[in-house]
Order: sequence, then C-alpha cells, then structure tokens
Amino acid sequence: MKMMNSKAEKYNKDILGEVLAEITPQEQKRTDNRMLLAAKIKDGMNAKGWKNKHLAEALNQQPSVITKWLSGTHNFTSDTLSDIEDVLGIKLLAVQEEKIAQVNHYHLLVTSTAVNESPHGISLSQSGELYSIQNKNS
Amino acid sequence: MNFKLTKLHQFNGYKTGIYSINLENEQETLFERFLKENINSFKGEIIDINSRIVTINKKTGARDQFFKLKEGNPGDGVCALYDEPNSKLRLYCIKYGSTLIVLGGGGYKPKNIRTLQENEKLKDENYLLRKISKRITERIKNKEIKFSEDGTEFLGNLEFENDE
Repeated sequence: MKMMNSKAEKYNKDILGEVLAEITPQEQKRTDNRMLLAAKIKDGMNAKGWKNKHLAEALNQQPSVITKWLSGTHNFTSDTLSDIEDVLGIKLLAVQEEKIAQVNHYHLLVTSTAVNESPHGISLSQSGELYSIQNKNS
Repeated sequence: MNFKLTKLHQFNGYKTGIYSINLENEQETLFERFLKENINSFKGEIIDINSRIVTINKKTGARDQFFKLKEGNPGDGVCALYDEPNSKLRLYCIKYGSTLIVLGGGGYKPKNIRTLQENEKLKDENYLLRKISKRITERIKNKEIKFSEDGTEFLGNLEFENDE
C-alpha cells in the first residue's frame, strides 16, 4: 500500500512528462513504424481509389480486419505485407537482394636492395624481391 | 461550465497540435486526469497511447484511420483513439482535420458493453466532450477562434465562461 502511494505521488508532479519519459526509443520506433506503414497502405489505397472493402475483397479478408490494419496498431507479418504489396502495387518491404562488397585487406611488404651501376648495366648486389603482396584474407 | 483550451507543449512536434482542457479551478487537464486515473492499473496501455500520440504529433499527423470516428453528435469531431486490439482503455478526443486534436478523458471499457451509454464513466467523459465541442464550434463560427496558417494552433480567446 505504501509503495502504491509513493508511486502515485511520483506521477502527481508532472504525469505527462513522466509518462513520455518512460517510452523507450525502441518502443517509440516500433509505434512509428506501425503507424507509418498503415499510413503508406492507406495512401496506396487512395491512389487506386480503393475503400476498405476493395482491399478486403482483393485479399479475401473481412473489412473489419482492414480497419484494424489501417489503425496503426497491427503487427504485420511479412507474408501479409507481401500480399498487400501485390494487390496495391506498392513497396512495403525493402528486401531487394543487394551485393555485399567484399573487402580484401592486403599487407604490403617493401624490401630495399642495393644496386650497383656499371658501364655494362645495372646489377643487383643481392637477390631479393622489391615487394610482395599478401592477401590477408587468403 | 467554465473551461479553457490548453496546448500540451510536451508534445513538441509540428505535424499536429495537441491540446487538452482545463475545467474551472482544475490545475490538471482532462488528459492528465485520464493518465492519473489509469496509470497504475493500465500502465502498458497508457504508455502505448502516449507513444501513438507522439507519432501523430511528430510523424503522421492525425489521420482519420487512427481514430474511431463519429463517437459524438454528427459533425462535432468527437472521436476515440484506436489503441492496441486487446486494450481495455478508451480515450476520447475532438479532431480538427489532421492538424489539431483536443484530448479529453476516457476510461476502462468493459468487454461486455456494446455502447458507451452502458458505462457511466465513459458516457460522462464522452458527453462532456460533446458539450465542449459545441462551445468551440460556436466560437469558430463567430470567428472568435481561428486556426493558425498551418492548422496546428487555435488563435483567439480560448477561455470559456459560463454566462455566454
């Protein structure tokens, strides 16, 4: 009982500020995404001049299901989003295959070599490679 | 009934202005009272409702699809915010296009009722907003209250006296 009282007192100061402060960035992002997705679906329907019943018919759903989807509270499955994409001709899932660039790391080794000059040309005083490249991924 | 419209500056986005109502001699708004009445019993739902209002305020605007419309008299803008499918809370508001909403109160909605008239608390909260909406509409018609250019703010006299 004492705990409940202290909790109530805590919220009594600036309850709206306290509640807003308790929304984690992750929670807010999830809400944003659900509502933005619903808004995008509605925009797609508007572009085709569709009411809820048209989308319901196209997807063999009850109109009440469409109302719930558009309310921005629904946690869509990727299958449902894929079906909506098909009938509305819009993109909701960003899953296009992308080439992942492979990064090769090389280690450059430079070796110095003494060079003798003579009237007959240039000769190396000792054998050795000027440089070598090693692929560290290999 | 005396009351005043109060902008809730904690919602600091630009898509939709968020207002609530202070009844006469009340320090807290109807929305703050709603939060206090329900935070202990329905904390998750209260968090969710506020998160949705933040999204409306900052990202989407008050699109019709996010509200259960026609919860009041014809054309008075009284509606309820859709919330989680299993939510037991109902929050009433008055919507002015997609750019301004006035948050009222609400309460627990038992599963076994079909209409708000079956629950005294919900009925009281809803009918209060209907009365308030009527008074606001009169002032808008009389041009005593106007909207800002972007539609997110009320401009004019936002205090309502009993003897009008």
